[in-house]
Amino acid sequence: MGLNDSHRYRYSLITIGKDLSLEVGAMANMIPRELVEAVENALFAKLDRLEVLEANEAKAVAVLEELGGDDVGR
Amino acid sequence: MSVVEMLKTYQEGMIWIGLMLGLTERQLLMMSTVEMVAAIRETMGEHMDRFGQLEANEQRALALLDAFESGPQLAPLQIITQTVRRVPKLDSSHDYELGENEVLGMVFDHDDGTVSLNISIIPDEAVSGNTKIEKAPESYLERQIRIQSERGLLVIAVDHAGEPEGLAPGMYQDTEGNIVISGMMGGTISPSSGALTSVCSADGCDLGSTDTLSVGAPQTWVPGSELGVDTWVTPRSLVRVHEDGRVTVSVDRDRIKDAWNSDARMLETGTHMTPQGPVFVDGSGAVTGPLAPLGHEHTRETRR
Repeated sequence: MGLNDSHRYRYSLITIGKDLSLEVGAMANMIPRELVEAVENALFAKLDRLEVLEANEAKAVAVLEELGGDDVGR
Repeated sequence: MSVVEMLKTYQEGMIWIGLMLGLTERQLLMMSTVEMVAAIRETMGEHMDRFGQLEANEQRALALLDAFESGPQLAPLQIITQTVRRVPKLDSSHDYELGENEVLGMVFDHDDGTVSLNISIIPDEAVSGNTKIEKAPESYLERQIRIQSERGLLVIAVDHAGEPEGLAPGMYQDTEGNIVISGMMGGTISPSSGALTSVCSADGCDLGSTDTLSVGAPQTWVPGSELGVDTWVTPRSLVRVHEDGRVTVSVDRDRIKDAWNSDARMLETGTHMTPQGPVFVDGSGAVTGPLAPLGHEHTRETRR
């Protein structure tokens, strides 16, 4: 492990951060600790939102089930 | 910061990110840098795909809600009695005397098992109280008679005079003041003229020569067996009468098959009463209805 691994991690963190809508330019200027925290925070927020969306989907499915599946009345 | 410290910071960060994404610590610690990066990127991609799908679903749901909420708003119904008088057959050689607030319509059988009532055979000016119908327009009448199946005519009186009596099953009032009857007894009564338009009933026209019906209890209208709390099944639908009176109809094939293979009771062709109004089963097993209860939001779904 050495500089190459460090570069590989940094490159991956920036790519993940980009997927999470962080700005590449801003990330490129961050020191390692800042970059890691920024990506972690962005991922955390994304996963929170994902959890909400999953819960809403489950509720929507339950409501549809309650209404009688995929066809209710005419 | 030394290279070692930098590497340690990144590595800890990546492991934490991997854990957040659902990878195990053991997995992550066993991986080389390249493997860890690849695993995290792959898991991240899966999460992002799912995220995109859920967000798209949410957008669609919000758009549907928006369309739903901007639709007609419901208000409690304020009327409610109807008298129905059946005229066996209309032909152009007879005159028909309409009583107070009576309107005249013709009943049609449809291939899908529904029956509809159409008052359009009567000129607009004739659709009012105490109007004598002197020979309906002959050519139009003949055409209507040709497509109807000897069900005859209904004379329907609508009494708008009463005090508000609350909600009647299957009926509501839209923002324009029209009284909308949903489900198989569906239709619209104009509050100004009392005209009843586009009424549908599974079997509502078999009323005998003279009937008085209370719209507050439309189930008295329709003959047929009563469905108690149970699961009922046809080759194409699953009808459930719930303990709380709700009636749900599903066409989910797996559920129908499951019910079919269980002890669910068969629902025969014809009209059956439920706590929410009539359901009609046609020859193929398709189920129409039931009526949604008045004032419930999903009455809008049954509006024609």
